[in-house]
Amino acid sequence: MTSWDWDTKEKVISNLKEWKEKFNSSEEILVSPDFEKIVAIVKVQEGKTFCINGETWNNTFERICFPQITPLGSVICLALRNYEWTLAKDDTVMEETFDYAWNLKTDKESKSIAFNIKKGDSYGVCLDGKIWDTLFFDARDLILSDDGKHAASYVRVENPPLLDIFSFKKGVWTIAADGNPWDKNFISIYGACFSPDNKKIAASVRLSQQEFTVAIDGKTWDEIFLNAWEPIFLDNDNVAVPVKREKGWTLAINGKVSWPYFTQLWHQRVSPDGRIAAVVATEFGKWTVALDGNPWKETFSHCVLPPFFSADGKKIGAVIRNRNTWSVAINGKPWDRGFDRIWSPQLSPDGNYCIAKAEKEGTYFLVLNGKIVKETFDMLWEPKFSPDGDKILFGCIKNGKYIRKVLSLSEVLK
Amino acid sequence: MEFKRKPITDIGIDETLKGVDEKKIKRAIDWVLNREASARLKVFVETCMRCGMCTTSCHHYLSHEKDPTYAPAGKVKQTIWDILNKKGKVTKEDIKKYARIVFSECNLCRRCVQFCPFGIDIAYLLSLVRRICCLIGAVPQYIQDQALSHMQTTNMLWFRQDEWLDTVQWLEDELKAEIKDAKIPIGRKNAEVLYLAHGLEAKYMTGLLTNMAKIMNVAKIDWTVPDTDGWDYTNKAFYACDFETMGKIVRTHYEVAFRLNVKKIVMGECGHAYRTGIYEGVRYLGWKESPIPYIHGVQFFYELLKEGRIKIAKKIEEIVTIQDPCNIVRYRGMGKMLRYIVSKLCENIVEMTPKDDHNYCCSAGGGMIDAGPVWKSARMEGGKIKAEQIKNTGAKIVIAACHTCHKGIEDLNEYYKLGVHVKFLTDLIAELMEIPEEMKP
Amino acid sequence: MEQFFKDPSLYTFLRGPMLWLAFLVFFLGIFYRIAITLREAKKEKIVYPYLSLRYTLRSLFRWLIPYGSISMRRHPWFTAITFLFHICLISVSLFLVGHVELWYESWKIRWWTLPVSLADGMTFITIFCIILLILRRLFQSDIRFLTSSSDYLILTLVALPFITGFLAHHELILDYKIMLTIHMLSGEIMLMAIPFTKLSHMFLFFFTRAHTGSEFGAVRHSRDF
Ligand code: HEM
Ligand code: SF4
Ligand code: SF4
Repeated sequence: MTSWDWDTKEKVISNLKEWKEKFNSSEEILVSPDFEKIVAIVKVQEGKTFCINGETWNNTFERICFPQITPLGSVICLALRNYEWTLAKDDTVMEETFDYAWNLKTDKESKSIAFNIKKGDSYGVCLDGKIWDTLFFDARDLILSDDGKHAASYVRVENPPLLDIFSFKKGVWTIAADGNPWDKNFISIYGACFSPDNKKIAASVRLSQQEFTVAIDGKTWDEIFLNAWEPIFLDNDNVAVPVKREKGWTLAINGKVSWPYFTQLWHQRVSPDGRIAAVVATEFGKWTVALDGNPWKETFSHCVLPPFFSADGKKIGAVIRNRNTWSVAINGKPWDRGFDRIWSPQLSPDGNYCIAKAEKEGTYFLVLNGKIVKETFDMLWEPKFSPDGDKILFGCIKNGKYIRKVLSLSEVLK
Repeated sequence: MEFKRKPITDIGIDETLKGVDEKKIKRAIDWVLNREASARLKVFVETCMRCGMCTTSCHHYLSHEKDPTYAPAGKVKQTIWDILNKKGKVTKEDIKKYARIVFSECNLCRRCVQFCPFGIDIAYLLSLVRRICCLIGAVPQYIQDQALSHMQTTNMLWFRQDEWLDTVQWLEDELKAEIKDAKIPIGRKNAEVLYLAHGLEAKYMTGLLTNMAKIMNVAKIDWTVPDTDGWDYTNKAFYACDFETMGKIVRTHYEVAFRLNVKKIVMGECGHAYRTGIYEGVRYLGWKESPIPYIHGVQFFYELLKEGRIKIAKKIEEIVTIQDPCNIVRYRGMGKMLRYIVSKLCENIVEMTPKDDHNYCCSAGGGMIDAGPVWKSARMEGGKIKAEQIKNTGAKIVIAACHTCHKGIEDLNEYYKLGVHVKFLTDLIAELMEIPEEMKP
Repeated sequence: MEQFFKDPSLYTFLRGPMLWLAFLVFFLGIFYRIAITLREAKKEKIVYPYLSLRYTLRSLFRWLIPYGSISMRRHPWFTAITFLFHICLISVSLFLVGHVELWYESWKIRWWTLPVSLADGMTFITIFCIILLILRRLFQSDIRFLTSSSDYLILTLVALPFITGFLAHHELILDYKIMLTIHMLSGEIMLMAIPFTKLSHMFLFFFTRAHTGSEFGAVRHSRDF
């Protein structure tokens, strides 16, 4: 981020009107994290390809799916050519082909690329060009470790005929990490995540109709609950998961109930200073955020999305929906304005400012600490703070042009 | 009056019960009746004056020559009251009988509630018995199979993730033959509408999904379908009162919507999924109402027509009648919207009596059709009154804006030789709407 | 009360302490049952948040006026019987001269009373309706299927005070005072039974209708009548 251009106030990167004339159609517009690139899937005579800042790839495909720009700015996708699926990255195409490929993912530093694959009737994962040694009857979802070295997927290891409910009830699902399945099966397994050191996997598992628990590397907790949502690692050794007991939902850490009971509890997250925040419903239809078990006073009628934190962990925010409009609440205080939609708000490094992209009746604008920034846009991408917190960077479309903009905080505050 | 039925074997119930002991039965009963249920159970059981006002409201009673064992309160007597009288000392044979009553002789349509002077929620009482059966594991095989699929895949038919994506992609290719540059966007962030489909539309009834896509394209809706699990709006776990799974399914739908940041979820023509998506599932999770708008196909089409986003080019001349699906009419008052749409599509409408929110259930709802082929006879017998109702209209076409009603009435049509065609609104609109010149390939 | 201490007998006992007890059980019982129900309804989570005054009133209105609901229109005879039965039953208990006199003696309060002959007629109608209700239970198959001995017991319990009251008034069969004693006893038993038997429908009715009326009206946008 520090190497990005934070000085040029306004860069017209591409004139999208020209694209319209050049290509039959363009769809699925993406921008790079530094906002320097705008990418669209376009139709040329031979098929579909990417157009990046006006330049097209040489390769063309019948279909382009899961297009993405990695954190380092590479354009990747899963593409169909001659009825076979493969991976394409920056105009080079992987040699290996698959009967199907989906769920394309990269790690935070975009060192690795992984996706789910189908070969013949077998399912698995391809990580950095290497297909798992063992394939399965089914593989669903892809979980990639932070360092990008390990990939996991929920796999079906038994293949009973349809309607053989007794076999299915014994459990046919487990998780496979790097192709190695756990030795226990479950009737359902979900919410898998890697530990911060990328060595362990935790997931919630369902043992029977009303028996849920957490399994870490295939070993289940002794404690059984009436229901459970997705676990997270608090650090390399401790796992927290929302669980249901007769009294309601609570947070269990390493199997022990550690929070008061709520009507609902999910999306628990650890703050940089080690506290746990989660979305809770204190009562039926009253949603808020609870911090270490203490809910905010103010509650919201419709929903609350997962909490996010400032760098020091002192500020906790969440997107909320109250009386049918979207807004943001920081440390329990909601902005007094609501919007038709709001996109992942960002806290400034010192935590004093929060900026978000918002939409009302089809126009897009920036919102800083609840105040609408006057300029409106035809399209807008989620703004970012500079590392020193003085500037705001974003991409937008205005009058058919894609523009990369940098505003100083004082300009925005005006 | 005795409970007389032809013997039927459903391995989901009979086989399961073989491995169940009476302790497990007692535990399930105690749990459901003492821990999960509370005021409503007690008050409803106590205030029932055994007055019989509800008796003739139920299509099962009317279709079974006034056999009181099919009457709403009669069914409560044979299940809930029986369990309470026996103080939980219930045998496997009892459970078998209860399961038969609650899974194959009640559609949870709640018509009887409208006829009871106390507003006793008989469907709720009978669903408590389903919940007991669920905890014991004694659930019809076909429902259990679908619920097991839902538990992991979120869809009803063990569909793999690539199968969904692949299906949508070839449907898009096919649609291009009809609509120039037709698109079925998959997993497109920031679209306005997230469209969810019926599980069967991805396999056996793909035409319906194509037609919905056609309407979306013609109406120029900014839409998308999920690129992950959660694309199937059905929720068969609900039929088993498997609330754990039901809640997970509904949560998945909304989480997909939040992740893609859409404004609303639109679904097709299905009753139970709408019901779980705005009531049962949502309430289980602690939401008072759906966190973002969850729009049924009928409401969606109504708005498209009202706003003039689609225009109807020609109308159907044959006599048409309208089936009011319980889950969207008695449960959501969509009767007027439904009639508005049909009046735009058809010239000659003859209504059934009773109609609108007092209409009879198709006898397939509430899981009866999902209970599978062994229970089909129960469904056909229970639907006799529905068949007569349709016959009396003289209609050639029955419009059923619900997958369950649709299939249920198709089966009744065959069984009672009604000589009608059953139609979805989606198919009719796709066939009758105007396609602008510039959209033709 | 004083009468009983001056002249302790079964008659004065029933008229004094027992009557007190019966009313105490009746009111405290109702209070207790309502309190428990309200608390348990909170446990259900989904009852309170959806309650709507407007739709509760709509529902009550439809079901408290004769023939206000489709269901009642479908059962015209039964509706006539049950309305007559309830109206006569409640009016006679509340507005009978003899009953009001008792209140006046104890509390010095007084309200409007029914003309004696009308009250007599209404008592007769109540008894007649109860007989019809019993016949219905005996001969209509769906209701017979639902009926158990407790239903007849309840009907008897309700019938007794009216029959004995009627007989005492006309001084038939037994001596007036003995009949009156039985009348008071049965009336007191009935009063005490209300909170704890299905006669509790008298007050629970308003709760079930509030819940169902609100669900159907405010949430489901359809009708519960
Ligand atoms: C405002 C108060 C009341 C309301 C709204 C009410 C309502 C009803 C309703 C709707 C029924 C069912 C229909 C029927 O069987 O007739 C019923 C039945 C009955 N009510 Fe009431 N009621 C009230 C007060 C009472 C009282 C004070 C008594 C006597 C103590 C009473 C005794 C009965 C009996 C015995 C039946 C059953 C009739 C049978 O077995 O067929 N009700 N009531
Ligand atoms: S089928 Fe409908 S009317 Fe019959 S008992 Fe069930 S809910 Fe009531
Ligand atoms: S109408 Fe209501 S009170 Fe009467 S028998 Fe049926 S459920 Fe019981």
